[in-house]
Amino acid sequence: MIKRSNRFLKQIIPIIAIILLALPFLLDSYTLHIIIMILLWSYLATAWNINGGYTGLISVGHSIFFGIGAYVAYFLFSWHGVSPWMGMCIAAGISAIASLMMYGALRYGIRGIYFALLTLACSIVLQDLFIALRERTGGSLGVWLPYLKGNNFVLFQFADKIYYYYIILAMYTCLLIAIKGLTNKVLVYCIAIREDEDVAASIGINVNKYRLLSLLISSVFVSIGGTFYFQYIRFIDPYTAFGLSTSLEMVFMAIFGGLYYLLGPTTGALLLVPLSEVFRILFGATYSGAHLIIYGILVILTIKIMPRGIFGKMEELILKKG
Amino acid sequence: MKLLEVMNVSKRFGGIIALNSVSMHIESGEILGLIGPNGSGKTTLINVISGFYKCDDGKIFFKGTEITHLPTFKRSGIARTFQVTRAFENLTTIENVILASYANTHDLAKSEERALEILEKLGLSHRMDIPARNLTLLERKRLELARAMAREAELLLLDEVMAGLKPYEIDELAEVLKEFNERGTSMMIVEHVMRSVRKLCNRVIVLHEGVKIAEGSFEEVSKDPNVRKAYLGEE
Repeated sequence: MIKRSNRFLKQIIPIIAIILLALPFLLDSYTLHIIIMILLWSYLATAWNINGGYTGLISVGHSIFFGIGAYVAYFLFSWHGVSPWMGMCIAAGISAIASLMMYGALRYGIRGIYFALLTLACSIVLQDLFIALRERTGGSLGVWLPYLKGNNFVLFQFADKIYYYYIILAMYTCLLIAIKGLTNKVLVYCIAIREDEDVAASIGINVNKYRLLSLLISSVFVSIGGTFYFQYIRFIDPYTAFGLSTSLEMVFMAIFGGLYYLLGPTTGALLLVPLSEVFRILFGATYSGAHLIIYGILVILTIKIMPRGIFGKMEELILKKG
Repeated sequence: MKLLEVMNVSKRFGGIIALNSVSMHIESGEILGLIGPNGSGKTTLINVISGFYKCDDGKIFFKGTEITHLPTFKRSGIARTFQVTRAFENLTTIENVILASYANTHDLAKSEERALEILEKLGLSHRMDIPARNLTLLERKRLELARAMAREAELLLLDEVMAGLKPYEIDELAEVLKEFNERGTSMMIVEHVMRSVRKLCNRVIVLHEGVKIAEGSFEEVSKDPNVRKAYLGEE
């Protein structure tokens, strides 16, 4: 986990980069939409994994930051005409403050399953609050982003999906680079804390500091993802913004692909987003909800067969061979 | 020179007094033995010195500076082992040791070199790529020691690292510790294995029910009537 050479990965990075850059010119609008969603969920699940996988603080309330990202950008834009790019930054700041509160709970010794429950409760409180404050938030019907024609970079609105594609691709790349940059120190310490916080403290690691850092980084990135989601879909309601399903989606993808691995959550998103789309097309009309059942069964089976996720299994097989 | 000085330290858990105004010190460069019957407060003392417990009364000085209220991670000159072995279970043996060194030096190459050297010395190098969770109990004890050594601290607090070893293994480990000590590391060892205490320690402290009842060389202490009473009961 600390020293692991990825020579193979390094060789194929340029090829992947070229493919990713050329991709939108080869695809139709619908497929491009799926690819954008894959990238967005890869981004969100990877950001969640900083906290949930590396540091081992399983949060099932990361939709809080997603929702803050979406709604704050909307409020600032529709009430004060602030550019969503600015809104994105302000929302990220607010998310950071919200994550400080979660950190407060950690300082009081709330860990493991209790931490998960606490984050879940927080997200439900926010969801209900946004439904209740109908006049200001649009209530359970959600809010729409007024559609402007054409491509407007300042207002983060584009008629062509291709712009969104490049933006999310850039965001995702930034996230990976940020994590890679951290690997040497912060992430290694986070892993140590996940494995055993007392041992970590005994070898001189400031447990609280690195917990806080991982929460902050993770929440800020998820929040930025929330703003992107809203600007792209142009609609958000409290159920999507603060709902359990949004949080669980990040958790599932990370577990499915492999916690503890940089590209684990991405692998998860790469498989689960198209899968849920296929199921939705197959069963969506006749048996609504069936795709969620199958989805759930798949996740359970994966955890049963591959506790370390697809990525963990792959690594196991490669190690056995070589 | 006094490396560590503990002054009138007390620790209570509810109504139980685990440490009752204990004072002691460790000289720079010595190996101090800490013995006592089960439940006499030996591990509590280690926890207080290393910062895992906050003491209720008293003061602790390390190299002349007070560290009584410092959090564990800031007590960088002190390394400890855990009596009930603990490790980064999903990391390999060598990663465990590298991490302990890395947290100190922030130099991965150097840490790796050092970890290899220590594992070699402790006879764990053939198990270095195995996750810590798959080690046997004895190997885990050695990993505890390796991790503490990797920190290059001035003071090692070793909590029963010899328990469960065979006599010749004890002698082997004692040699390693001695070599380490000669390179300038002071140690306090908590041990039930008297063979190693006699072999290693310049000075011995005896705890009984949270009170220091004797101090001196191993021979002196083992003749002390209070110590005999504590271990064997009234005659």
